[in-house]
Amino acid sequence: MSDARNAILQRLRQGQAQQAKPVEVPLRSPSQVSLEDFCEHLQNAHAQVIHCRPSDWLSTVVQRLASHGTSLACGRSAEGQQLHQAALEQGLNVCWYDEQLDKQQLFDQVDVGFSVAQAGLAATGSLVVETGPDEPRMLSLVPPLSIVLLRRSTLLADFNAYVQQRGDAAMPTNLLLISGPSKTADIQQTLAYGAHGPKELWVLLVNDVEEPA
Amino acid sequence: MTVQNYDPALMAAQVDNDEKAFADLRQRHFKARAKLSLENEQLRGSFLGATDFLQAKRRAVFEDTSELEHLRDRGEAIRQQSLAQLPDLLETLEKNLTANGIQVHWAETAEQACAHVHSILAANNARTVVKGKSMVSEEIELNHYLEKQGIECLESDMGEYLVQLAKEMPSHIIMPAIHKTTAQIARLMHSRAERSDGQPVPYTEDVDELIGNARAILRDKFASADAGISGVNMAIANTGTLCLVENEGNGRMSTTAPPIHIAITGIEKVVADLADVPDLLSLLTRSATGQHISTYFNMISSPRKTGELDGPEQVHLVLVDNGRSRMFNHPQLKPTLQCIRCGACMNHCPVYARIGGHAYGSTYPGPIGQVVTPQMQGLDKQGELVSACTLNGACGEACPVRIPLPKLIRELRHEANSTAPASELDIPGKGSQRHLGEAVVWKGWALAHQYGPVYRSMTWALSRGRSLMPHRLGAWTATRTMPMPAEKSLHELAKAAGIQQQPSGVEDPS
Ligand code: SF4
Repeated sequence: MSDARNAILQRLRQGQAQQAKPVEVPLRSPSQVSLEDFCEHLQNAHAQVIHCRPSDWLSTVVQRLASHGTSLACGRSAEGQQLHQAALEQGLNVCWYDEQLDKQQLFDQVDVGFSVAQAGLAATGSLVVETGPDEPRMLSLVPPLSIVLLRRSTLLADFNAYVQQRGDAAMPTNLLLISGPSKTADIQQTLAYGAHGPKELWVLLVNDVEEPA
Repeated sequence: MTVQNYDPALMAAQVDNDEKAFADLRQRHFKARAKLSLENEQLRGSFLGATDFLQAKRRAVFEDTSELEHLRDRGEAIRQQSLAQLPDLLETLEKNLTANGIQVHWAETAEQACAHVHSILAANNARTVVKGKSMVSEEIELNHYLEKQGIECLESDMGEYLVQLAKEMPSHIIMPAIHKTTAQIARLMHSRAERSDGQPVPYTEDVDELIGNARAILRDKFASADAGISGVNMAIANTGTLCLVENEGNGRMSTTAPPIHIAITGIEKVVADLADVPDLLSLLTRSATGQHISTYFNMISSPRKTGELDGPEQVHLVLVDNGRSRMFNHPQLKPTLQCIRCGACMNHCPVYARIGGHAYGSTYPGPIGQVVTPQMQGLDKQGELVSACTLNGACGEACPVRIPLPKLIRELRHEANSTAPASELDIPGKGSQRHLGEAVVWKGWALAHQYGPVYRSMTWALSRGRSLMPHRLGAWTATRTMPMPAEKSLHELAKAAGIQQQPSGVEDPS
């Protein structure tokens, strides 16, 4: 219905004629990158922050998962492949998120999804996840436990800082900010976690600043 | 209710009664709805509790007032700049979305928008739809339309799901089931929710269990639905991106799991650039629920690409006008379109807190509803809404993008009482609330204040004839006593006291 399009645009152009020029208000100067704020926000949002190093993050996750006795799915990112390998070696129940895994299986049988964040935002305790072939969209959404790895060196002050850093880079299919496990307060303002997505979020904070990988 | 007097038949009857009460309310006139709501103690408790809670949360998250005011300046500027370039931004958005593989559809009316959605679904043989939260889909009554075409459209936001189960309407734009108590929801879930095996869910008043039950039902639907429908919080023109704000994950589910995603938005939601987004997002979540950020912020820029393992194969955007381009042409009412639908104005409105969302009888309640609804549906149909305001100004002070809501409400009162519309760009029903008697009284009042002799005769007549004044004056004296003119006017008293001269600088109107 291009008629609708033209009619709408024409009415808008007519309305544009009588308008004053709006003012511009600059951005406020950015805040400091605060690791404490980042962790505090995530913890307040009911996420677990797990501090680890490049040399021990794999063993940390695998050990924690071993006591969980659950099934894990990994994407084909470099870290996903490392974790898949380590989990196999430990005899954990692990699978690839690939064409073999159908949607129903993902909903019914996978307990843990592993994802990698491209950046962290200190001011809000957010993880920036860019989805793509190696970073599927549903891996951080459908399994009841979501584990997201973040390198300490990629922590930024806030969302504005991330936008500046991106510049004109092309947008991924899905750019996500994740700031906790899924939740709702729709029943008489009482907070409940695990509304539709993950009930738990583990943030693997890999300190690659003091111990470069 | 304790387990001892647990009676499923009684519960079902209570749930049916709630539904009947709502249907009955819907039929009534605005004033009757407001009165009924005011008489409902439980409802008043729910709304006062919720608005107090949300106000306190917002206050706590904006502890630095200088930061808040700066952010509001920026929010207002970004929204005004976006609107200033609206037609160009919409064209850029369309171009970039199309280049990204997202199909764009334009709708002038609610009917056209519903028809677009239906034809996309029909072309793909989609029978089951899950829906994320979308106020525009409520505005165009999409569920109703699709139902008539035999398409099941399931709300997946927890609040919306409960409201749909109860066969009611949302009573708040952010917290749709704000009017219901946990006990009511417990009865509702047990009587009406159905698990995928066809069984009812067990009765519980535990919120975690209630959410767990709804979660299980809805996850089955996400996995199997033919299509997902969502709203849009912001659309970015330069990148061709649709942004969604949410806590529950149902928005991500609806836009990721089914093979088709249809997004619906009003044409005003577009911004130029990604750089416009962070501060608006911050204002939105902080003003709405007092959160620094929502759990998820989801920016969608394309359907599934080759090599990707999930996400919909088709993404569509339906751009809905439904009166917005007309608002755009009204010099005073245009700021209506700055709204980012945070709900702070209703959380701070003393009238909303007392009469509740359903009394307004419109998709958008509270101050923004009073401003938007008459402009969409006409002052003849919804003009009464603008009377439900004390002009106390709380909404305007809370609004994160500085929409002068009280001024807009006053302007609409003026429009409702001015003469009939002159062009198709006027608000429908303009002048419909004009009454000859009232117009004459005001005209006389204005004349009296323009001409000294008329004024003096008026006050003379009123003070001498005070015993003849009626004791009742329609609705005014239903809740107030009739004001009594003094025995002598101020002018007469001043004269008697020997004060002749007005202070310098003030001119005698005669
Ligand atoms: S009018 Fe302002 S306060 Fe009300 S919903 Fe819109 S943005 Fe929020």
